[in-house]
Amino acid sequence: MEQARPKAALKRIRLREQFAWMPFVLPGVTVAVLLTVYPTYSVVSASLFGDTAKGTAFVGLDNFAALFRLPQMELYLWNTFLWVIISSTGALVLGVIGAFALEVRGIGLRGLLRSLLILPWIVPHVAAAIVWKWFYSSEFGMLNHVLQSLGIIKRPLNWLSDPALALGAAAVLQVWGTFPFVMLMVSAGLQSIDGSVLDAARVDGAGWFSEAVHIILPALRNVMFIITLILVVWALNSLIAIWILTQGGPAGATSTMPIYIYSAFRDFNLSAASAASCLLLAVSLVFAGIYVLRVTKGA
Amino acid sequence: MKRLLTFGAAVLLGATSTQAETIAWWLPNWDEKPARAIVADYETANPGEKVEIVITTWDTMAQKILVGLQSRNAPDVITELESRTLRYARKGLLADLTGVVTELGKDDFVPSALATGEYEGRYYSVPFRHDGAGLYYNKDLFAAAGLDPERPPQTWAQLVEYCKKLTVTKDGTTTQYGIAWPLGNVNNGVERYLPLLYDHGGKLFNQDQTRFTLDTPEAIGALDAMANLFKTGVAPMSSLEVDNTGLRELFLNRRIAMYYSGPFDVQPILEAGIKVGTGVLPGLNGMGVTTVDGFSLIVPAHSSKQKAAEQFVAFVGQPKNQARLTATFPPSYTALKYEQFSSPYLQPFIVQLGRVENMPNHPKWNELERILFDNIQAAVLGKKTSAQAMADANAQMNGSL
Repeated sequence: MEQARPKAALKRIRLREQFAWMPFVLPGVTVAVLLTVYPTYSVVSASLFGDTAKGTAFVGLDNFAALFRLPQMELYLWNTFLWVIISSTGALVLGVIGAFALEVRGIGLRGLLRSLLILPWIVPHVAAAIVWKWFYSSEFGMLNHVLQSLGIIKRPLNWLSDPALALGAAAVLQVWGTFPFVMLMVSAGLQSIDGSVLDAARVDGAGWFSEAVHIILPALRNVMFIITLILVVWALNSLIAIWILTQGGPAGATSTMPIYIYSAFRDFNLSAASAASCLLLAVSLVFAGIYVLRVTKGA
Repeated sequence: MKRLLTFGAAVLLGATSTQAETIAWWLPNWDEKPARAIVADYETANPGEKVEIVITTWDTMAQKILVGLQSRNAPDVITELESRTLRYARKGLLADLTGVVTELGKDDFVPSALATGEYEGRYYSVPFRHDGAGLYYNKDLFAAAGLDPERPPQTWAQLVEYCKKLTVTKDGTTTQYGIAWPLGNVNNGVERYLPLLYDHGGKLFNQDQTRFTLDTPEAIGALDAMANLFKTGVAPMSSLEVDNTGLRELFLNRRIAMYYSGPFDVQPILEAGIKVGTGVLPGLNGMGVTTVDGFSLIVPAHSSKQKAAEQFVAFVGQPKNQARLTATFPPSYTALKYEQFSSPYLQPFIVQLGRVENMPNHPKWNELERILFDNIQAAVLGKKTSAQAMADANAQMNGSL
């Protein structure tokens, strides 16, 4: 009996120590859960309700069915696919080139260069998009002026009003805004490569191509995979670049799913906006799930 | 104890009475200055009454008002776009303001303004700003093209002819166009097509608004009229990049000689030093049609201070206060005669109010106008003929109904 008392006290102390983190962590976790779970629940719930003859009522999956009956849905999905491919690939390529360029030996003012290249990522997206809109303007735009001065084009191109150019032009803005992230991540990956391995390869006569293919790229595989997933999720949810540059035009050439969702919300069609959001969320979740699995596995 | 109870009761009564006399008014930021002056006058004229102003912005006001009304969490008085009012009235979200309209004098209002808040014979809004478009033209560019700077085009045929004369090409590049349209923005673009549709004798819907009627020769003719300006090169393709503000920039930079806009553009153009002229919209047979819109005061049905709100709305709705609050024109005939609206630049806009159509108020209009917009753009780009574009728009919009 005498021994049982200290044992119970010890157990209590241990338990208290074991859960000492809770008061510190719980408020943050609660807020985070509320901010994530409630909006998601709200959107999913709104996607299952709609206007009926008896007012707003549960309509099951009718809103999703209506979404796929939309004549423009095929165009929205195709544009979204193109948008994700072009903007993610562009950011990946430019970011990797930037990261490699910064690692070139003998390059001066590396810190300053890195800071300058990160600027597009820091600039507020709306402000940047407005500036780019002027840059692309077929009447006053700097881009046409430069290209004409260099003799590359004879007449101004309608970057934002030609359906053949508009999606690409908007994707360039998305690439411009996201490549610094890729560059930073790849730079970090490059710096984590053991220098002695590279030195040993050089001693063994490996050229830059062999170095890149056999040492650097395999070392960056995990980083590149994660970057790609993040870029895809960003592109899937990207609205500002297209909305400010073209509002989804000309003639629907840049209408993507986020543009449809935003337009539906602005037009008070909450059911359609929610159903489309759920659809996009499901696609994003696939990529997010792969990302989480990969990161967890890596950890 | 008795004293204490009396004091408590007095405090409670005082608090209740103060609360009952304070109403909240949501209004857009551009109205803030005159609104504060009107509120100050109202509070002076009605001691004890208080009006709390909450500022909204153009980008957020539609959602904010909709959510506020639906969640019964809106203030007592709201400034809202005329063309959105009926949507709320149909859902029973607004208080009946017929008494206020009658008190202010129904006959003193421009009919198209009152119609924006009329539902089943009752009025659910009190308009204070109401305007349509007119024609702006650059007098210097007219003179340089050999046109009379005091005579803007009177008919559509004249407009087309003037556009040709006002389009200037140097070394194969067009440096100045006759006219441009705000086809880079859904609302602005459709708002410019609709007057052409009405002027051609077309209708957007059938009588009971159950079907769109855009595959008619009139609707196709209206789109043809617009698209031909692009095909003949007198309107720039950069129209597809600009909204109303961008259009004004093109005009200020002398890239275009004419454009359509509301009376609010007069001041910035004069400030930029442009020799500007204004005129009514040229139509097929004389003055064309303009769509009109504006802003009204509404009172949520759930407001617990409806009497105080109605009293305030009746005060703001007086002609002199309409004139103070409007950024363009008031819908009151009495106010329209005031000195501030006598500028020669504004007269064509007042004349134009004689041939107007209201913006559509169909519950699904905003959702569906995007389809019409995409097809207008397709016709202008030459991707579809006007007949194809209108047939597609009609089928898709009716399908979505």
